[in-house]
Formats: sequence, structure tokens, C-alpha cells
Amino acid sequence: MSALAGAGASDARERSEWRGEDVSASEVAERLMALNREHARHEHGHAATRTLNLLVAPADDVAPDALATQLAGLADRHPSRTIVVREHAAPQLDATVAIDCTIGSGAGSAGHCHDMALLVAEAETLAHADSLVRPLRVAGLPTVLWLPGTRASHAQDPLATLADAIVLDSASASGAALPAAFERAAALDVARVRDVAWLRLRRWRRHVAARFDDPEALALLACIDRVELRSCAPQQASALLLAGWIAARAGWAIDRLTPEAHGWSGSARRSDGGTVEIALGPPQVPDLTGIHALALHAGHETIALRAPVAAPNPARAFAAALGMFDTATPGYAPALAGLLSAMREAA
Amino acid sequence: MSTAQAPAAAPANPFAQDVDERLPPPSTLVLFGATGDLAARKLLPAVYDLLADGRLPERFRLLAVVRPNHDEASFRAHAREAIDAHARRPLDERLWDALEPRIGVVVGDHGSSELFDALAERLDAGDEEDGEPSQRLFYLAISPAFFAETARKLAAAGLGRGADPPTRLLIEKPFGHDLASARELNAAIDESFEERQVFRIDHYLGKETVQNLLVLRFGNGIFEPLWNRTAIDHVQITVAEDLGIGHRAGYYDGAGALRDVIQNHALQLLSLVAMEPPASFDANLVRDEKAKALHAVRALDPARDAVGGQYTTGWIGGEQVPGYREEEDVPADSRTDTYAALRVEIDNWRWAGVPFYLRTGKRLPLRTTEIAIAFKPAPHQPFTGLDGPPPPNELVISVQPNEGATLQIAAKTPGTALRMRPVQMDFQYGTSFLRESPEAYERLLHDALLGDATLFTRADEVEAAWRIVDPVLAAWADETSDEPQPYAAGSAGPACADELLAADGRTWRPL
Repeated sequence: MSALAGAGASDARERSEWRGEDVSASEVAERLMALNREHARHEHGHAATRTLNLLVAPADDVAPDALATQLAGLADRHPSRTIVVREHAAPQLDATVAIDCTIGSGAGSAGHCHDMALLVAEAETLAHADSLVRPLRVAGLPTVLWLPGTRASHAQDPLATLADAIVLDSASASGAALPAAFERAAALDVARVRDVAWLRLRRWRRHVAARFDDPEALALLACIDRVELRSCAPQQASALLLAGWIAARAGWAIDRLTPEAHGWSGSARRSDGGTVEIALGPPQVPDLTGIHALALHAGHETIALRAPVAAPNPARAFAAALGMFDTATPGYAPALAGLLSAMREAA
Repeated sequence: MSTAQAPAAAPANPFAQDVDERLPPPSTLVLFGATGDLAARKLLPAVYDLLADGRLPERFRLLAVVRPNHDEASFRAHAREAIDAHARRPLDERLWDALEPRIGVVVGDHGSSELFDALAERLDAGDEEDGEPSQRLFYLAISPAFFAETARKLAAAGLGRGADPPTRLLIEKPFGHDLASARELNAAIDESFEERQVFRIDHYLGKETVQNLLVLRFGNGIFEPLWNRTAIDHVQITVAEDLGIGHRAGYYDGAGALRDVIQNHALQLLSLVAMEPPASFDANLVRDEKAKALHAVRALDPARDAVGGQYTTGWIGGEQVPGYREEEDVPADSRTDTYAALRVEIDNWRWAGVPFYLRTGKRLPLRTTEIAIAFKPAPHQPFTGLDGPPPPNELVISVQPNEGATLQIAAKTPGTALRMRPVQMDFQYGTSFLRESPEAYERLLHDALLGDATLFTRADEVEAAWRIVDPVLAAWADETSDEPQPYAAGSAGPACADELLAADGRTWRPL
């Protein structure tokens, strides 16, 4: 067991932490409460800040350090009570509880704090992870389950029963592994899934929708015979979802979709029976990130869209996913369904 | 029965249903007063921040109306400097490279008709270059004295009523200096633009907390049942500034606090607090309700319901500051009010008997804008023999500088004795949502690009607000009336303002 300790991690942050081995769930809850009381007693002028309960069930291939870095970044938009549930082989529950504070800079600015619990247990216990986590949640706040990595943790399904929203990122996979990532999302309650790969498309979807506000472009939609998308490799999942969304909303049925050396190719059927070729390839200019360009061809006519101009903000989609515990992500389910149907056919 | 066939409905955009926020259509923003202070501090940075957020349409142009001492290169340099100094985000070269070619200028004086013909030609040329028409927004960041004339010249150049592509006119307060001049201005603008084309900006309405007031009232089930004369004792609206008038004597000495703040910002806040729930958040339905609330304000008796003040020398933040009459360019015998307080009653079922106290002033102890809803005390206090009853509950909505809301409730202090003290349940934007809120001008510009007028003031609202303050202005303008009450800079205002509430057995919230 370790003692309560307050330590300044840097001049901008403070952290108080307690660690215990072979502890009970109720002891963890008591320690977390004690740490919060202790912290409030010190009157640091920091506001306890929580907008949600964030449950994290990382796959076993997700490195703890990488996860810790991501969690630290999350606090910038969605301060939460964070409860991380990991697996180990030992038949005991080990735990760490901590309060992290950002110190207010300058007169009149308030610092803010949020708390975290890390629970590590064996697979058998994690199959009942909901019972570990229930006493630690802040009552009344929405609960979001984040599933980092590509493989399912043993805690995934029990924790999903507690969650208002389930956050995952299909872009964690690429190439031939993508169908499995999409299947994983589809196996969950899709209405609650917030796929970061989908949310990265928000600007693109606005862009596409704005383009088809133009009646001339809208008239061409019925005659589209080829869709080309250019994206860097890590954004293949998003590019596929964009293609799937366009197909779903244009009323096309994707009937073939297969991975290739540098992308994907496939085809879809329009409602009038015409064929739409689908081609997803790498950017024509090296070193470009994200989805670079979209072209919709209708005979000799082309509707070409370049990546929307905006400040790069890679964390925005993830933060958006955490913020969408109360709203659905319209368009995602039909986009995913269309893609999966074709991928299953190809398999 | 009619046998005429209805025209076939245009097919709907199938992609629009899944988009959480629409992008504006292709647009050109024409900025009059493009080298002025408002443009540099607020408008140009807002355009940049909208671009950085991906909220500008793909085809967007900014056309600055500049005097002959500027050309395209010099204005672009000026814009870059303004963005670098005042945008929320640091200047990103990639974004600037995307924005810079979209910035153009039209050189001329907005007093000359030639400018408007050149502007129309330039707009058409831009559309031709882009291959499609873009809507045109004219932002008049110029002296209000030129609003009507500029609107008329725009209309004469084919850019007003019935223009194709569509146009909008954005103007910023003051909208007139009394009811008569406001009516005159509205009538003059109405000759050139339809009301639906006119977007009157009161930048307070673009602030996050002001919009949150609507969410607080109509998105939460607990407040609205209490939001009436049964539960609410009174309302205080404070717009306090610690600064003096700076170099604005030329404008301020002719305006005063009542015109500068109460007629617009404070009465807009009042209308949002007092309005009935709109059927939907359609721009006109919201503004109908706001206008109804303003129309229900009882005519003021200047002697009984209003207090004007003027600051004298005093201390703020450990520094001695001059009195108003010692400020640069202020006449030594100025009668201008730098402080104004009103006691307002609203004659409708919801608010009968609930006074609204409004105050604003320069050189007050601190800068704050807040709405305090004071609830009635509990009808019976069983806790006798203690230190007295707990103070009544109070909901304070802080508009600036710390945006948020605080609900004051009584709580038992720990211990064996039954003692209580007020505690605050606090919601602060800065600590609950750590993301930065957009600047008011970003929100308002974006809404104007989208054609959403909900957060803009309609002509009838402006006139209704002038109707409220007009009798007080007239009384204060009377040379035989008392001069504004002096108050020391750094104090909470003149003593008479305290009497305004003391007569009702109440006190101002401390500043």
C-alpha cells in the first residue's frame, strides 16, 4: 500500500495519488473519496471539473504510456471522472486513484481538477467489470465507454451495459483488418457508437452537403458513375465511411469492395440500375494527411472537392465523440451497413 | 377547386440530413470601415477564426471598402496584422495563405455614388470568376450617421431590395439616438432593404452566456415553473465597467450611459429574461416574444424610476483617475450621464409586481455584466432562534468576464448546532467546458452568413426599447433638470441609486 501524496508534476500541473495492491472495490471507492476530500481541504482554488464518467477499456495491445498521454490530452475538452480498467494475470485487484489539477494562470483564473481510477484485474473479474465500476461513477453524469485499440477487452461487454455512448476508432485498423474493425462497431449497439473515424468526417460531410445545395450538382447526382477518393493510409477507415455515406444517401447499393495494394476498389448500383465505380487511393501529392480530395464523375462532368480549409485539430474528432453522449450520429449506421454488406460479400 | 398543377418540388439534398451544422452558401462579405478599430479588433479576426474552424463556405470573399491611401497589398498587410494581434488562434501561415487571396479591396469614399457602381461591378466580376453567384453581405462598420445614406446608395446600385444574388445589410448600434431618430433610420433603411435583409448587431446577443440564458430557461424543467411573480422577488441587471471613456469623448458625451448601454444591451438582457417561451427557435418567433416583453414595460416616471450619475475623481485598482469632466475633450460643464439606473415594471401576468432594476456605469469598481434573479424567501422559516433567516435564493447569470451561472442556496454548517449559511452551486464555462467559446462576432457573422436572424435585433425591438428610455432621456435633457448625481470613480454609483431600491426595501448586489 502507498500513502496519500501530493506532488507537483510540473509548474502547470499538480497530481495527488494513492496506489494499492490486492485491494477491494469498496476500498478504491473510499480512497477516491478521501483523496477528493483531502484535496478540497487544501483549498488550492481549483474547481473540481467533471462533465462525464469516462470508462476506458483498452485492448491488451494498447501501451499504458500511450494511453496515459491520450488521457491527459482529453482533459482539455472533456474533464471527467476517468476509470480505466485493464487486465493482468494475477488473481487480485490492484488500483491507483489520482487527482490531476491544472493550475490557474494569472489573477482571477481558476485552476481545474479531475480525478482518475485505474483498476487492474484478471480476466475472470473483468467479465464483471460493471460491478467494479458502478460504485466509482459520479451519479448523474453521463457515462461514456472508450475502447482504445482494435481488440476487445474482457471488460468491453459488461462496461457497455453502463454506457450512454461507446467511443471507438475504426481507423485504429487499416487495409485487410478494416472489415473486422467495422464488424466490431456493428456488433455493438450502433446507435450508441461514436466512431472517431466517422467524426473526423464532420467537415467533409458539411462540405459535401454544401456542394449539393447547388441545384446543378444535385441534378448530376443521379448520373454519377465514378467516385474517387484520395486519402493517406491512416485515414482509410474515414475514406471508406465517406464513400459508404455518399452511397447510402445517394441511394446506391455497394455490391463490391475489396482491399488493394494502395487502397480499395469496388462498385455500387444506382437505383436506376447504373453502375458506380468506387476507387480509394493514396494522395497524388506525397506527405498530405487526411482525406485529400473527392471527385464524383458523371460522364464528362466532375464534381471535385478538395479538403476543406481549416486549422488542423487532430484531437477535435475524439473530443467530439466524447461530447456526443446525448445525440446520435446520423448517417453512420447506413454508411457502415452499406460497407459491411459489400465487405461480407467479398469475404 | 383549383385545377392548376403545383410546380414539382425541387429534389431535396440527401446529404443535408446528416450534417450537424450547415456551411453558409457562397458569400462575399463587403466591409465598410474596413480599416477601422472594430474591423481590426473583431471583424477580421472573426473571419479568420471562422476559417480556422472550417465554418466559411468554400467560395468566400472579403471585399474591403478602403480610402485611396490603401490598396490591396496594404490592406492585406493590415488585415494580417489585425488577425495576428486579435484572433483567438495564433496566425497559421497555411490558413493565411488560404485567406489572403480571398481578400480584395474597392477603393473609394462611401459618400460617393461612384464607389457603389464600382462595388457592384466588382461583385459581379467575382461571381463571374467563381462561375457562380454568391450572396453579398454589407457590414457597415462606419459611423451610424452614414447608415441610411449607405443603404440608399447600395439600393441605388441594385444591391438592396430584391437584389439577385441576395444581399444583407449588417449594422451595429446605436440605431438612432431616440425613438424619433430610430424610427427615421428604420424607415430610411426600409426604403432600401426589406426587414428580413437587415441584421442589426447587438454583440451581447452573440455571447455564449446570453444564449445560455435561453437554454437555462427553456432547456431545464426546474426553472421555468419558478420564472414568474409567484417565486421571483425581483431581478437586477448590471452592466458595470471599470474603465472611463478613453478617447471616445466625441461619441460618449453626446450619448451617455442610458443610450450607450441601457437602451440596447441591458434591455436586450431584460427581454431575454422576461420573454415568454417561443413556440420554436425560429428567428421571428423568438423576436416576437422579446418585442412583446419590451412592449409590456410600463412607462417610466423619470423622477421616480431613474437615476443618472456622473463620475468624479476617485481611485480604481490603487490608481487615482480623473473625473468625467476632467477627461480629454469633455466639456467642463457636461451633463452627460456616465451612470444610469432604472426601476422597470412589466405589465403582464408573469411579471406583475416584480421590479427589474437595471444599472450601468463607467468607472465602477469592477467590470462585470450579470443578471441576478432574486427569489422570494421561503414562506415560513422553522429555524428560529438562529442567526436570522438565510438569505433568499439567488440565481446569478454572469455574462462577463467569468461566463457562468451560480445558484445560491442555504446549507447547514457541519456541527451539532443547527446553523446555516448560504453556499453557491457554481457553473462556470471556464471550468466546466474547458474549450474556448467563440467570440461573439464569430457567432454573429456566421449566423448572418447563414441568414439566421435569431440573435439580431429587429426594428420593432429597437423602437420598443427607445420607447422605454425616451421619457428619461427627455427629462435629463431638460436644462432645468438636476445635473447627474456625482459618484466617486471606484464607488458603486451615486447614493440616489441605492435609494431607488431602498424605497422597495431592497439593495443592489455588491460590486
